[in-house]
Amino acid sequence: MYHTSYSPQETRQLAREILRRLGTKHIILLQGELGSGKTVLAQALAEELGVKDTVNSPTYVLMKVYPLNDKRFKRFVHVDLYRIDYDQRLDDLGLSDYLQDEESLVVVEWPERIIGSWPYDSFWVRFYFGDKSDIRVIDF
Amino acid sequence: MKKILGIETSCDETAAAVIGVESGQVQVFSNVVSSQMEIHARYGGVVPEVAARQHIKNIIPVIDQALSKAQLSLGKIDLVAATLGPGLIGSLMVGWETAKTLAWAQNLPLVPVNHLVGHLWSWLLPGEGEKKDIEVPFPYLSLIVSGGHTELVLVNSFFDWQILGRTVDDAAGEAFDKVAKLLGLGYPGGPALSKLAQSGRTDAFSLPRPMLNSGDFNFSFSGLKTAVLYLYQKLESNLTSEKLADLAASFEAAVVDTLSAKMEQVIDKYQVKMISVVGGVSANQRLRRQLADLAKIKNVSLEMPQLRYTGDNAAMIALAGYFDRENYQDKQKLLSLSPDPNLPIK
Repeated sequence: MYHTSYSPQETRQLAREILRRLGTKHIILLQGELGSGKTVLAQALAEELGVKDTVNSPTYVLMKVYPLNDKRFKRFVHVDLYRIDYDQRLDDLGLSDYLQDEESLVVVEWPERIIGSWPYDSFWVRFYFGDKSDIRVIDF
Repeated sequence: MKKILGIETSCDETAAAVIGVESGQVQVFSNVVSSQMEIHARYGGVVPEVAARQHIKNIIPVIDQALSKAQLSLGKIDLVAATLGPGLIGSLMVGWETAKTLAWAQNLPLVPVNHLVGHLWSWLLPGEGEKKDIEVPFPYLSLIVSGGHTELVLVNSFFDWQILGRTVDDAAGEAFDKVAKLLGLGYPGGPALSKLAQSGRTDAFSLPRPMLNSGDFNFSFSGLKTAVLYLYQKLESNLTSEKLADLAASFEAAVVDTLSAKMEQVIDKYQVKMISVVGGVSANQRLRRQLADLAKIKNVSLEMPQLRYTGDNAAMIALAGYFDRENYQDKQKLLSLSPDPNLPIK
């Protein structure tokens, strides 16, 4: 389903709906170009789940883990594969433990850097640029 | 004299150094950094697994080289200091476990060091073979700025500091690298972008100076990156090399202005007498010049690390370990300590 967002604030508001629609899934994959709103949405997801710390970009360290006080999730795992080249194997990244742990909510930016190997029950969110500068079309 | 062996492997540099501290003076006997940059360039970015394997290959030769350059055997070392975090977990493990093993086998005290605290003291390091007084006019303001970090720190003493602000999204160095990639300069292309910017006009494009009136000391560079993206898309069909240089210069100026303006706000509020900028981006010439101007206007002193200590190195880890040496006595506890990729700077 397509959602049109006219501002980062509107993109943030989609977090609640994503969490509602998540069902039993615990891996959220955010695919979109630079500046399309992935980190904004990841921050909003963290905030919805009660993360108090600043959730800034994990590009440099690939992954940041925040503890949660949530009924379902024990930790929020923010992953950013921007620096990873294509054709890397998923199990070379030290992510496997979290991907198998249903108490970890794993949010991945740039999931397309690894093709075809994400668990089949991942929740995909795709970001597209609209026809005007500030508009984004977000599909999930 | 206390002789300290430092070990640093938080990302893609394998580093070891030996420093000496005596009567308030520090000297660097050796500072060895083995960069993996060429290896990772083939992959277009740092690959954690590859980085860890390279560290394993490099760590012992690098430590050996640091010791032999210092003309010291391990038996003459008084203290081992190694990076515990933050960084890539596989990389951190190689350096930390090696340090633990050396300390255990030689019965040496071991001090875990926060990588960012290492950067904090990097301006105190003299060149190899020189000596420098350890004199710090506390409290002072430090800007730690690199590919992974942008933090404003009020440093109250060798053991006490306070984070006044940080980036809420991308680090400044990360913004450099991402904009460089956008402009087709490769990744990580921050230094290439700065080179291109030298021939451009900083006022050719009007870009935002984000968060200047946010009322706090935080930064945001994500919107700036998006603004460059929009400009680039608009220009793409007729983007001359001249316009590309203008865009690079305008972007660099926007980042530097923002960093400098926030530092000015802190100087005014906290009345510090000294400012410092450390980390990979502190090698940026425009930032160095602009902060020198700021220091002059505000009548404060400015301290910056020598260029060799702006990037990751082990001399800074050794010095931080020296300052923190009394805090770690419980050997058993240390030997069970594991690296922490998200280690906070407190």
